[in-house]
Amino acid sequence: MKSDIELLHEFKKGNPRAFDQLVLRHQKTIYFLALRLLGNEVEAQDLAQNTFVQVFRNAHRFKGKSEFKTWVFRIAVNLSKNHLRGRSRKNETDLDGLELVSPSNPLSSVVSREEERELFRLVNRLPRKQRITLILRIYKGFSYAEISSVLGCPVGTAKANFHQAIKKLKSVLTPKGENL
Amino acid sequence: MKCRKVKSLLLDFFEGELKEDTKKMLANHLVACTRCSDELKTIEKTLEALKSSGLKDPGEDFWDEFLLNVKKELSSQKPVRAKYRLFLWPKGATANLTSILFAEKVRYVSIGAIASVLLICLICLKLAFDPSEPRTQFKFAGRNLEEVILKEGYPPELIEDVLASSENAFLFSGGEIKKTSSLEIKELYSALSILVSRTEPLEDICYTTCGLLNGDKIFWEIEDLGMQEIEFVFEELRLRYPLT
Repeated sequence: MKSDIELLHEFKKGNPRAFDQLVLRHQKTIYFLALRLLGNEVEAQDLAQNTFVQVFRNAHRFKGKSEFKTWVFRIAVNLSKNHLRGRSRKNETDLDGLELVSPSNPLSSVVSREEERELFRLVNRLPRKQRITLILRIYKGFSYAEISSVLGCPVGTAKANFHQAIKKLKSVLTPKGENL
Repeated sequence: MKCRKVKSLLLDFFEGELKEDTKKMLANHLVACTRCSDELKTIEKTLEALKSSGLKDPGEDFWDEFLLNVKKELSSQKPVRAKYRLFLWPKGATANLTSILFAEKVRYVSIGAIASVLLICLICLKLAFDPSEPRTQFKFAGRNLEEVILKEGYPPELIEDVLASSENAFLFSGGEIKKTSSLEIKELYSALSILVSRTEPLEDICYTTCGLLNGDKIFWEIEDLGMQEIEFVFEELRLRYPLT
């Protein structure tokens, strides 16, 4: 199987099928990232598609110094930040409407449904950078170095954002009366 | 190791990010301290709860049409234009001019004319890009634009694009930007918006900046450009010129 970089190289040389393959390979990852970030299926679809439109248009700018995946994530995250900023200006918060699917085996769930709801309500209220960092770290398995590359911030900042996010979230599951 | 210090390291401990000796010290503390070990359990539980939540898959039809929709989106947008397209050049003018210049009767005259035009162009280019000529220093929020871009870590080619765009905007807006004003950025953007209204074919940074200005998100706030808007523009720049 050809690597992302090889496919991008072929696309740059004029093979449009190579671009198709890149989209097919990454569409799910980017869509679910967008859905986590925006919390709205229609907006996530638009953002995911727009990400690949930007990949198409800016492919010639990709120099291959970072991984293709990191580059695409950076595009998606930047688009979502712009989108969220526009939304916050309008005081819209669609994030609470995100439909979560419970674990396939309910017995394996470590928290009650109520705690889970509260947890995600809190996730959606995290500052934007903390939330993006959390999503990249938890759901995409990114290292701090990769997150720093996507967000364009120092590694230490990425780590601090993640720590801050977890500190806030664990309060939901901390037994009442305990000093945080 | 005190509880306060241990608590600050628990997440790193859980993620296996600690050095071996620190890990051992922390593990010893956890055996003896119930409060800290409970705190670790809460962190574990929080991360597991976050990880276990899934999202609804939109279904096969959605994925089948995804690529098609990307292509539709691409075909519905304006094609990327040539970077240095000649402004205000009428459509079809190139073809007409060529047919006239290379007609049998005027061929020899036209060869001379073309050579003269080329010579003039070369002189103009030489004058325009003479390194001894100091470049107009545009400022971005009171700071030198070039320095800002370098500090932000953008690739050097962006500087050329931004400066070229700024200069174009300056020229096409009638050259009335007050470079010493503290509101340079606003003026630069105003100039760029004038540029976009005068010349349709805009590309790259010029296009981006003007797009932001004319878009519903920024335009209404042009009278009140703050750091957020500047950050927004930089994010757009970052998108167009990803850091590598």
